[in-house]
Amino acid sequence: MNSTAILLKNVTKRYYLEKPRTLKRWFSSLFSPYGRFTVIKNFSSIVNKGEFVLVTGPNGCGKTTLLKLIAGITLPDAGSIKTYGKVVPLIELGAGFNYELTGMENILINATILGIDKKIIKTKTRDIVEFSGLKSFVDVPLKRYSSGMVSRLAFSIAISSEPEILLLDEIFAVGDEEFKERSFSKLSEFHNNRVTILLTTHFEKFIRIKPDRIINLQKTNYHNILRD
Amino acid sequence: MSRYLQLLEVFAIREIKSRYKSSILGFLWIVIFPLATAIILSLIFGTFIRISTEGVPYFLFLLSGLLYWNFFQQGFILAKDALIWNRDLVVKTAFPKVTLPLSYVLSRVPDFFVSFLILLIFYLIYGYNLNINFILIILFILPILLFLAGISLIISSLNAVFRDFGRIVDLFMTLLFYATPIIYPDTAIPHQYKLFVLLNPISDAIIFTRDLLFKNNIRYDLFFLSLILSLPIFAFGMIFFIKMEKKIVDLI
Repeated sequence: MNSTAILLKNVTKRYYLEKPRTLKRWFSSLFSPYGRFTVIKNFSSIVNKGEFVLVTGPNGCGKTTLLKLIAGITLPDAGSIKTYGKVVPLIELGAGFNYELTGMENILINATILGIDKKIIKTKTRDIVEFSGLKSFVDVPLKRYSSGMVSRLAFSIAISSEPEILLLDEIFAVGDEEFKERSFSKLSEFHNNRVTILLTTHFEKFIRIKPDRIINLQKTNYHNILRD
Repeated sequence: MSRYLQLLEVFAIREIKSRYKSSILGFLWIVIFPLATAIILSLIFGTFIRISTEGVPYFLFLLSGLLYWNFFQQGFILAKDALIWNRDLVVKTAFPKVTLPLSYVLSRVPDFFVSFLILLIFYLIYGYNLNINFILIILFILPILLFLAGISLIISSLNAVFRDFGRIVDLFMTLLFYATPIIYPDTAIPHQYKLFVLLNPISDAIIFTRDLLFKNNIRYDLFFLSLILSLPIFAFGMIFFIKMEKKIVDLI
C-alpha cells in the first residue's frame, strides 16, 4: 500500500544570473540583464508516502532548489511536480523571524507562515516552548538569543505544524548534541507515523535514521553558466 | 481566505510592534508625526508664504489635508519595500506573498484613526462644532485603501526586481505632494487642470474632507468617482502581483 507523496516528472529549473554591468555593456544589459543557468535538468523521481529520503551532493548541485520546487516556493521551467499532503518546508531555520520581537511573538508569526490556524497555534504554544527548552526566554527579543537558540525555536515551531511531507534543508549543522538527539528522535517518531521526510545533508554518517532512499544530485557544469 | 486574513493580521501587527520597539517615545510617534508635519508646513506656507484658505485657520486646513496624504504616503513608503525587506520570507517560505505589501498598508490604519481624532480635536479648539456627518470622512478610507493597495502591489513587485522603480517613485511622490491640494485649496487650481486633479483619489478624499468640515457639504460625487478610479487599479495590482510573484522568487 505504497501511495505516492511526491511526483517529479522531467523537472528542469534554470536560475537567472546578473550579467556583469560595465558601462560599455550597460545598454545591452538594459534589454536582457540576465543570463541563465541550469541547476536541475530533466529530473524525475517518485517519493512514496512515509519514506525517509536523503538528498546529497556537492555545493550548488540543486539540493535546496529541489526542496524549494517541491514546496512550491519556486516554479520549474519545465516538467511537473505534484505533492499529496501538507508540505512543510524548512529551508532555513528561522527564515522570517523578526529579531526585534519576542520569542512568543515570533512563534505566532512563524506558525502562521507555516499555515497553522490561529486557534491551533494557541493550543500548541506550550508544546513548542517545551520542546525548544527556551521557557525563560520566550518574552525576550530574539536579538538577544544565540544562533543555536534561534534554530531550536524554529525547529520546534516547524515540527508542531503536523506535516505530511517534511522538507528539511541541512538543519542539523547547528544546535547542541542534546537538541540534535531530541530532534532525531522526533524525526524517528514522524517516520514511524508515516510522515514523508526529505533531508538534504553533506554529513550522511551523522544521520541516525536509516534512509529508505538516497537521491544523489550531480554537480552542475559551471562552465556553461554564462552561456545562455 | 482565513489563511490570508491571519497572515495579514499577523504581519500588520508584527510591523506595528517592531516599528515602536527600541524607541523611547514608542506609540507617541503616532501623535507626534502628524502634528510635526502640520507644524512645519504651516510655518512655511501659512506664516511665510501665506496661502489663502477662504478664512479657515491654516493649521487646521493642513491637518485636514494631511489626514489622507500622510496615510497614503506613509503606507506606500513601507509597502514599496515590503518584498525587499522580507527577502528571506519570499525566497525560503511558501505562503501567498501578496499579504506582505498589503499588511504594510494596513499597518498604517491605526495612525489614520489617531490623525482623524487629532483633526477633530483641533476642529473643536478652533471653535467649530462637530457634526455627526463627519463619520463619512472615515468612510473615504475604503477607496483610498484600494488605491494605495493597488499601487503598492505594482511598485513593490517591480521594485523587488529593479530597485530603479523605488527611486523613480520617490521622485514621483514629491511631485504628487504638490499636485494634490494639501497645502492649498482646490479652488486655487486653474479650471483647465481641475479634471486632472480630480483623477487623483487622494485629491478627492481631501476635497471631500474639507467641503464637509468647512462648508458642511457632502460630496457623494467625489466618493463614487474615487471608488470608480480605485477599483480597477486595485484589481490590476492584484493580477499584476500574482503574475510577478512567480518570477520574483528567482529575481529578488
